[in-house]
Amino acid sequence: MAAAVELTAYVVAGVSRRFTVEGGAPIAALDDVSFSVARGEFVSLVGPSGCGKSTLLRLLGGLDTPDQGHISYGGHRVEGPYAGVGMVFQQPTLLPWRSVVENVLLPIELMGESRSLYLDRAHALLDTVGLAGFTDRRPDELSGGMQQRVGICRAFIHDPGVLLMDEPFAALDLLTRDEMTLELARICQARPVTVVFVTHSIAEAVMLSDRVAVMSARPGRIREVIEVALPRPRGPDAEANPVYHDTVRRIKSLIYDSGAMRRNTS
Amino acid sequence: MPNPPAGMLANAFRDYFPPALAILALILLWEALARGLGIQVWLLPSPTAVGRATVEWAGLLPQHTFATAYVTLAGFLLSIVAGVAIALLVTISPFAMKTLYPILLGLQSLPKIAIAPLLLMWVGFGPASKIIIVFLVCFFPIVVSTVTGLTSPPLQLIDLARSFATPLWRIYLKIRIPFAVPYLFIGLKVSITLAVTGAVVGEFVAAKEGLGFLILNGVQQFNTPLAFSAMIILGALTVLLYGCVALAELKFVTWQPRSN
Ligand SMILES: Nc1ncnc2c1ncn2[C@@H]1O[C@H](COP(=O)(O)OP(=O)(O)OP(=O)(O)O)[C@@H](O)[C@H]1O
Ligand SMILES: [Mg+2]
Repeated sequence: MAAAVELTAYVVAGVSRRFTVEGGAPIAALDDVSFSVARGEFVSLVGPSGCGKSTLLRLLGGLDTPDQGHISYGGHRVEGPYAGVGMVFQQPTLLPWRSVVENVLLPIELMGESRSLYLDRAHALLDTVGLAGFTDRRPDELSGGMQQRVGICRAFIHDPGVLLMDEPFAALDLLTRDEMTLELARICQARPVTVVFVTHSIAEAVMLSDRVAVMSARPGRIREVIEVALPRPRGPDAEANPVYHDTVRRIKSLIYDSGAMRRNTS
Repeated sequence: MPNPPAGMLANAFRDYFPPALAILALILLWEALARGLGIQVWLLPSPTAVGRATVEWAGLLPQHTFATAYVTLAGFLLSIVAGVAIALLVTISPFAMKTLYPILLGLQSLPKIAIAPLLLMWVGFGPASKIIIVFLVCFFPIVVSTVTGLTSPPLQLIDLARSFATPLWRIYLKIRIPFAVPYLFIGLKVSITLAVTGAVVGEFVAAKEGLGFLILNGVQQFNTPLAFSAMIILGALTVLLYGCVALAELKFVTWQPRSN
């Protein structure tokens, strides 16, 4: 039993979340969602816009509480923010008045720890994403892709056990996006980190994930969780593997069947 | 971009020469008209008359200038302290945001200058009544701009900070307050010009000293050149105070929010 707890990162059990909006019927953002994430696993959440992916991610991070059901992380009930979480969002959300390296060190300051202990690590992280020459620049001097790389380094600075990423590459151009996908795969390969990754790109999800949870919209539910049987490490040639295409096709058919795309256009 | 000094001088010359020339021409035209048309000095004094008055009253002018500068600065500084404090309170406490903030915004629509005669009754002739008026005219722009600034960081950045179980005060210290600083300065620049006007209006209503008092007295006693002299000093005071705020902005604001 103890071993099982240790191997599990998240257990999501019957979680529902409703939002009440003034002068309207309550919105069921999530309805009876259950799944689990193993330690070190990379799980993607895909589904139509508004199906509750961001809501679920905030719940996992302890930033919001479910109306029903519960979530545990590493065997402990999630009741608020807890140590060892790194977050990355669609927008880089860097502090515009700080240099790149100071932005990477922000989590350390927010946690009230000593920056100097992490300075080397910050430089090493920036080095791995090719930003060694930009550590003293301001965010607005960098391209969107470079800024997002800074955001990823910031998420890794305190060596988190889990990364929660909400469409981190959605605002990037396609070339940069592909490059960042491979880069993230490489970074995650190098360290034992659990990742929950929200994306609209099925290709990205398949490329990166051990499993892909396909969600359906309103009320948000998990329709099916699909294993990605692609061998690792996955390079650019993984797309040539027939398994890749089969998996992409299966996920697509799940999303289109659910009628989700019709709702998506509303 | 570092310009060579010669280039900078040339630039400064190009920027400042035309307006300086225009002002000089205007003064000369004024002098010529006042003399040529023989306008009574108590109606519209010539620049030389104003100059003479300034020299004649040179012993008194500093005292009145300081009086006005004092109430202006005192009211302005008080409004910064109170305005920032209220802005923090309102953004920290949703209850205050729902109750206090609407009341404040409602009060903002009252003409604050109109309270001057009442203040005279409540706190008397002294500097206090002027300081209160200056405070009132400065307070709202500072509160509104600071609240805007404190609530300007993207929600996801706040989520990120919260995910580290960051205490609220540290979120303010590291994120919200630095985000608010450029917005605060927008409010300060509006307020400092209003502040001088507020002080003068207060002195019009009732005062024993100050540039507003000099202007009113000058006009009432047909000493119009003195009134003009006080007015010009008032203008210079406004420019000086605004310049100080702008300088502080240059020092403290190292980034500008992108206009959405
Ligand atoms: N704070 C909130 N207040 C009210 N409604 C909310 C709130 N947060 C989310 N919702 C609603 O919950 C539903 C799910 O939102 P969520 O942001 O989780 O969707 P999503 O899957 O992340 O969408 P997208 O792919 O567009 O980012 C939406 O209908 C949204 O309007
Ligand atoms: Mg979302």
